[in-house]
Formats: sequence, C-alpha cells, structure tokens
Amino acid sequence: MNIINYEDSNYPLSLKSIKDPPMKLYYEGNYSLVNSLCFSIVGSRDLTAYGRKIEQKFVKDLCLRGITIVSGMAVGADTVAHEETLNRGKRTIAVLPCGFHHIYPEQNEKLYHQIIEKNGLVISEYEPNIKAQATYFLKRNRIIAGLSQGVLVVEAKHRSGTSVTAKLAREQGKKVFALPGRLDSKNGVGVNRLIKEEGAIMAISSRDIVDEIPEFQDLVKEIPKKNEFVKKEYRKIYGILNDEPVSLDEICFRTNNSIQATLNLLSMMEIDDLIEEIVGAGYVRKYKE
Amino acid sequence: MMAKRIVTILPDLSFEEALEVTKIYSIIGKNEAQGIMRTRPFRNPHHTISAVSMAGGGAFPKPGEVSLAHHGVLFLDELPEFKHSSLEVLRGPMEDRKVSISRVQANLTYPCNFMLVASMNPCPCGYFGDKERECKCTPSQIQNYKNRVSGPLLDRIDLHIEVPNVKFKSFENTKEELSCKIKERVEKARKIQQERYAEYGIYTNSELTPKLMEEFCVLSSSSKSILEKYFQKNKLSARSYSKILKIARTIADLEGSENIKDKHILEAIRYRFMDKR
Repeated sequence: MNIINYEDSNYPLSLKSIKDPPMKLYYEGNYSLVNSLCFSIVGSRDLTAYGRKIEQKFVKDLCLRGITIVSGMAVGADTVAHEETLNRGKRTIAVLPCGFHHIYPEQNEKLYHQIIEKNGLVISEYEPNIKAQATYFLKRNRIIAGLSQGVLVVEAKHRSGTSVTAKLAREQGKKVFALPGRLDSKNGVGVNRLIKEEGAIMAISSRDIVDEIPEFQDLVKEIPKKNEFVKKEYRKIYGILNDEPVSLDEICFRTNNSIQATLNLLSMMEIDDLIEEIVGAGYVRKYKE
Repeated sequence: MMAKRIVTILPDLSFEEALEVTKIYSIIGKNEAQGIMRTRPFRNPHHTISAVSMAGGGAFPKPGEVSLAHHGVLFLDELPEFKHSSLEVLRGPMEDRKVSISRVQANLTYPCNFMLVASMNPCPCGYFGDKERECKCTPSQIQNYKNRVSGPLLDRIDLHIEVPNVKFKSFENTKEELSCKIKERVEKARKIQQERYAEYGIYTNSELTPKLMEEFCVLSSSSKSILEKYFQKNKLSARSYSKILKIARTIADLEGSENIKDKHILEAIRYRFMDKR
C-alpha cells in the first residue's frame, strides 16, 4: 500500500479541482491510471437482470475505447462495472469507502485482489484500519465523480445514494448520464427522475456518452472477437433464454423436451459458459459479444 | 402437499421395519393403527419446535421427531424459520441414523433413519424470480435469509430442487404420473442397489463409503472431464463431489444402467445448485 499527499507532485490533477479534495490517498495497484481518461459507472446494489445486461454492454463499449472505468466496488452495479472491465482485459479503478484492512463489502475481497492483479487501481482516502461507515459511502462518491469525465447511472431507486453521486458530479461540472429505467421496476424510478427533473442526459447507446465528452471523441474502439458459435443442440434452449431468468419448468415446456434431457443440456451449456443459473429464479444467458 | 406424497412413492415397510416403527409409536402411546403400523410415518413439526422435541428428551427420554420419522419422512416447511438450535441438532442423527439421549433417569438410544425433506422461499418476501411480482428484498436480506440454514446442514441435503409458482404448472398438466408408477421405479432401483451391496452390509447409495465409491461409482474419462470443468468453474468442495457421484449413481440405477454415463453426471450436477451460493 502506498500513500500520496495533497502536496505531492503526482497527486491527481483531477482531484485538485474538486471541492473538499482528500488530503491523503492510499492506493494499491497501477497508480498511473489516475491520469488516464476515466468514466464512472454507478448504480443500484440490487441490479435487475436487465440492468446488468445493459450495463455490461455500456462498460464493454467504453472500456474497449481505452477509457478507464471507475466505480465503488459495492455489490450490484459497481461489481458488474469492475468485473466486465477486467474480463475484457481493460483497466478499472475502485474507490473504497473504507481502509485497506477492512475491505467492504467482504464478499468483494476477491474482486479487490483481482483488480490489483490485473493492472487496475484501488484507492481510498481512509487509513487502513478504518471500517466503512454510512457517511463514507457518500463522501467517497465525490472522488469517483472527481476522477472521471462523466458519470453514468445504471439503475437507481427513488432517493438513493446513486442519485447523490449524480448530484455531486453535477456540482463538479461533470456530465451526468442515465440509462432510461423500466417503468415497472423500483430501480427505474431514480434514473428516470434524473433524466426528467435533474438534467441527466439519457444514454441509449455509448455513442451518446462519447459524443458529449470532447476528450472521448478521438478514441478508437477496439473490435472484439466475434461471438462464439453456439452448438446446434444448444440453440433451442439458447433461443428461449434471455436476460430475464426462465425457470426449468418453462424451458421444458417450451422446448417440449424431457426434464432429464433439459437438465443435461443446461449443465453442458453452463460448463461451456453460455448460460448462468440464478439460484431461486432460473436461467439466463451469459451476456457476451 | 407435494412433500406429503413422498411416502407414497417409497417402497413398502418390511416386517422388521414396521415393527421398529410400531415400537416407537407405542412408547409415546400414539399407535393409531391398533396393531402393527404398515405405513411409513410422515412428520411435519411446526417451525416453533424446540431442539429437545426434535431430538427427543424429557426426564425419562421420549423419542423426538427424528425418531418418530424413523423409516419415514421428516418434513420441515419454511426451513429458515426454524430455530438454529433445532436445526443443528439434526446433524448428528442424520449422519448416524440414531440418536442417544442422556438424562438423569436413563440413557437411551433411539433409531432415526429418516428422509429429510425441507422447503424454503428464495427470499423473505417470496417473490424472487417471480415473473408477475417484483421482489422487494435487498441482496443482504436475501443473503441473511439463506444464511439462516447453515452450510453443514445444507451439505447433508442431497437434492436441491426449484419449484416455480403454481401458475406455470397449469400449462404443463399434460404429463402427470401416478405415485404407484413412480413407486415401481423406486422399488426397481432399490432392488438393484440391495443386490449390488448385498455383501457390504449396506442397502442404498447414500450409505456408500469413499472406498466403496471407488468401486461402484467409476466414471468414464469424458464424465471425469465434465466434472473437472464444472468444479473448476464453481470451486466446489470434495463433499459436493461425492454427493454428485452418489446422485449420478442413483440416476443410473433408476434407469437400470450399469455404469454412470455422462448424462447421469450432467443431470446430477443440476440437483446441487445450492452449493454455488
């Protein structure tokens, strides 16, 4: 773990200009990322399957342009942002609401090590032995916004912490984007309000983001590898699955296969990384392109 | 309701088994058959049950629910609602198939070879994964709810099955099967197992020791590679490995297949989804 002071010459310029900059930064990993072009993606902890899918798409488009993805390593949207970036071999920054000896949330300790291993950066303004507190979540959000050229809100409930991040970003003069939310979901309320009442830019594709931020415009998108070929015997089930979980009974009913045959195929598809089981809900496609 | 039907697909009680069951029920004066009890017991204690009434006890120890379910089914509805102590008390009896109770006046050992059937919701509000209604629970609430059932207990449960809302059932009412038909299959598989294990002093696949598994759960190289990939992906324990093998062995027996094939392994994997949590 290393420390950077406000007075140091390599203190991130982007943070110097914000209100209430952190006096000290503790970091682990690839520090040079603070000077790269950053964009932050935040959202709800209990992301819907739909939100997850769309977020992955946006993260992919942005990180393949070489943009560093910044988030808060919380469960849900934050985790998706970090994981998707790492899966594509791209760079990500996590800003923690706690000291390095008390990684929060605990279940993301693995992700924390992964970020450092895969050339990413983890920073915190808190001393190593400080535990996360409710107020710290909001405070660290100013760093997330501060490091980035803009913020994308994926899903948010009414009056959520995510909305606060958006407000902080706007106060810092950063562009705030939001994905249009579903009208039938609580997770859609916050984002739709941001768009309707608080001047967030509605992002329908990553183009909308790139066009609004001058620094991003010259970046060239790396072309990812073509989608893997889906084996013939998988296609029937694969066609039924989508981003909303489908239960085993429904799959059997719609493919008109026996339960044994369906279980067999599902296991094989899971091993081949095509689908994912959401315990208690059913099966979804593993989104990749 | 579904759980209640399980006794109807189990093989009939043998004479010795029926005697044991009758004896236990006679101790508590609840033998309603007025003679030898021929049906397998089905016990579904309410979730407010104490650890003592679960395992058995009293100044002069009486059999608890685990023993009353001997050779039958112990059904725990809403598993996470049970007291932690009442659930943890099950671990020993499930493993040993008997329970020893020591009190001032007597030390007694009651048999308790029961099948545990338990049900729970996917989350506290019960709508997680439901198409029609949105689940109101936060991820931490769901995690806490699941955590109320300890890992060691969950490990001892062989099959995990998801049951969707009844709505979906309505469009798949085409393939109903009668209990007596299923029972025939079960009896056939049991018979295969009894013959196979005749000289080893056990009756069913669930009793296989690691050593016997080497002999009777041989995998082809393709099955091995399937399991290997699956385990690497999901980082599972050695315990779930042997569970999957035993389940696959049973699926093979139900089909009357002598060897465990790929399809049996692939099916068995799906019955262990709680391992991944």
